[in-house]
Amino acid sequence: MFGLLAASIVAPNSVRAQEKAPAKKRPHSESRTPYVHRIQLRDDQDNPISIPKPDPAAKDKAPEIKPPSIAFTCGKCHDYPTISSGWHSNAADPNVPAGRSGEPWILTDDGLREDTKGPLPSNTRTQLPLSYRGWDGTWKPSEIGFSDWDFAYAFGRQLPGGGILESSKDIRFNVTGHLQNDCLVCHIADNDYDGNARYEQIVKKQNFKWAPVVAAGVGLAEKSRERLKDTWVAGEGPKEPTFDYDLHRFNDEGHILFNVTRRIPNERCYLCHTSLATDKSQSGGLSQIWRHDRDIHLVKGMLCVDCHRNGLDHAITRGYEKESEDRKDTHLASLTCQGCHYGAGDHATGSDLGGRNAAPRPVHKGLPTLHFDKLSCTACHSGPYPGDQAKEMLTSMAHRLGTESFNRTDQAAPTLQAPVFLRNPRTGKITPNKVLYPTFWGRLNGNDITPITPDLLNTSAALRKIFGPKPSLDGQPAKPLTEDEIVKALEAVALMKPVAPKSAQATTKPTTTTASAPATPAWYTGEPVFVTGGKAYKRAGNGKLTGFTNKDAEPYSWEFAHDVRGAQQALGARGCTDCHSSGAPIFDSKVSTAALFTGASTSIPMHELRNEAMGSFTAFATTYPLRPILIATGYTCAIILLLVLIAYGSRGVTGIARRSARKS
Amino acid sequence: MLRTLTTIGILIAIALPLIDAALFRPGRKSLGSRRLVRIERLVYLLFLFAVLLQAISSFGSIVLGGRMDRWMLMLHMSSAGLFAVTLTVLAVLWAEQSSFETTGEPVFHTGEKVAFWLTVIAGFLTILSAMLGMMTWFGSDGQVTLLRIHRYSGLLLLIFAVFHGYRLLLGRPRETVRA
Repeated sequence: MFGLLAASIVAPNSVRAQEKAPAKKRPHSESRTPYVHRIQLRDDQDNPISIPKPDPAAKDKAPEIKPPSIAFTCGKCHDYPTISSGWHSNAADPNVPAGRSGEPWILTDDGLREDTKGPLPSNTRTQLPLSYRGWDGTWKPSEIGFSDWDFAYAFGRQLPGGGILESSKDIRFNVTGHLQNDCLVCHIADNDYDGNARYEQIVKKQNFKWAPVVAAGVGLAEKSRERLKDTWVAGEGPKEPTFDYDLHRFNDEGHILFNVTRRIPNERCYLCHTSLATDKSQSGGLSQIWRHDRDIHLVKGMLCVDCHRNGLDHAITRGYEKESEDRKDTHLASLTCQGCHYGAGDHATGSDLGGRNAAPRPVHKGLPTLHFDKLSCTACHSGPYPGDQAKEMLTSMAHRLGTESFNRTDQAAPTLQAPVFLRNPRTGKITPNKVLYPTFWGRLNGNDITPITPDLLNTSAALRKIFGPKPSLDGQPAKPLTEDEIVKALEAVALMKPVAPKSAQATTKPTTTTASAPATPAWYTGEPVFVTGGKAYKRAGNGKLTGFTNKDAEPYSWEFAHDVRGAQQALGARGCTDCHSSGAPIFDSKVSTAALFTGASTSIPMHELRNEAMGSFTAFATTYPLRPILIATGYTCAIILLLVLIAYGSRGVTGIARRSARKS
Repeated sequence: MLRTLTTIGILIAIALPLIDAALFRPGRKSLGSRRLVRIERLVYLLFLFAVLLQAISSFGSIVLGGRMDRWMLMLHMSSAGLFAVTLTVLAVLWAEQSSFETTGEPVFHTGEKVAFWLTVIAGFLTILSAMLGMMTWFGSDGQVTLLRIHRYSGLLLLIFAVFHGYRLLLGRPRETVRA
């Protein structure tokens, strides 16, 4: 009873409290000068928090002050529920259109909560794309029995919070607190926000509740909630870990200064959106950032938010070509590459006069306009310069860049590759993509494969023995399994039976999914399969595997647009033969299937991934050396024709003149 | 827009010979007995063949709702040289005979001469706009203009060439068909 009460109070309290007062009057400065946020913190009951002055006499005894709530502190003046409806928080909202596929959250063995009393987690090699948005090729967490809390634990380090992470009824949130929408993770202007502290509070201490304020340097939460049971209730049993204010950050009035800005520095975005090609490593070491040029726009002084703009609803402009259609807002058309550099053609807003902020109008000398119908701007201008092979990439979301690691390598799992030139089905244009070939264990029912989460695999002692322990060092490449190991593992998976869950564990699964979940989850039925390298493998008897294609084994790809390379480094800057020649990257660059099955990895040329016949392109490329002959012939003919026209034209004019003179 | 104009252009190319055949051809007089030499006939047939390939690969694709790319582009580019050379040879060979100031036995009717010069002018614009577009002298705006010139001069060329071909091959009085 008390637990239920506590759950209803602690969980989505902030959201509900805000929703109760939609007409709340909020102060505004209406100026481009940032308002100085020297403010009083508020607690999770929306009460102002009084901060006493530091007392040097009471060294060891910190005053008891209620911990702060970001939602209520920021929500005093800002419309928190509206802000929380933005892209960074609304993924699980079924009423929000999924939009263009983006980078998924990739579940690996690193993202799991370790049971300190249980066996060591094993090296399942899982690389599974998850998204609440239901993008094709990804799984919703509930589809694989991954709870909202599990998701928050695995990825909350680089999710601002809010949405399902603030409103989920998973009971573990009662212990850890929810992840409120963390305004400060983006809006702190002076690099004082400690992303690594946020990560440690979430993953190492399970202090979800205080992760934002600890990261923002408001105070410290040194104790962990890791050992608190799911049934723990505040005020009963073990004491709740404390949040200790850094009193020196407060002035005499008990106000704290947050240097927040609307014009968010790029470095804040990079906490979660860094993307590094690993082709610039030094002696096998980690990718050397100093060897990479940044996006040309940032080098020229722009901010990410100059293009990726948003209103209060935080529906940040993504900048892709059809976004204005998707969101039914013509204004957004001017916030694409084309819209900004050519103008969006809207006479009413003047955008037909040219691009925004005097963005240089591309000249594209000698480039037949046909190319603009076949290629996105990003195909030639974005990402690492393409070569014979797509490069392995590290990203913040997939590889925890921005958080501390002593061991991360360039080949760290999951294996992401870019640029991979695929055709956008909506625009028909070739665009650069990042690609992940998923690797996971699952069960085949009909044509559908249901993945099995690593934590479920870890419940099997036989599987743990086959997989071996998870590498003690983080950020390591995944080691392929042999055919024998995979067969044995599939046999062990076949023997896995549904275990009657302990009542507490059962309730950690989202209530939203249990209602529609079948009696026996799909990951316990059907033929066990191992998916890797674009194929699914099942047992063929005699200790062998048989591979087959399946839609659920296909690679997942998502378009990217950064870093943008300037005109001099664009594909085609060296001439037509950048693409119209044998072995041109846009057609023939190869993508590894990165199979974690020994000997099963292959390299696939990009035109094959696009299912494109190469006959005409090859013929075109082959005849390219004849182009000068064609040009010479054309000009010779044009000159002769011009001479003939001049000669006989002047003769005709003279004749007409003579005739009219004779008549007169 | 382009598709509509192309369709209209093709309809005009078909209609003009039909109108001529119905209204003017019956009353047309013979020009005498001079025949086109074999090389002229060969070059002219090659020219018509090249125009046909060029039209099918470009306007054919457009009328069918597609666009000229891949194999169609290859076909267009491959027949472009033949078109340019044969048009130029014909211009040199027939310029004098197609002149309105010519003396001696006439080889071409006035309508044929008009169609010939219009074909040469449209052909010249078509070739020049294609050649300029292949150089690195023009940016996107220039490329768009050149492409438009190329398309519409090409469409006019098709109309004039078809009419000229009809007049020369089918449009003369029966007893003087020579080509």
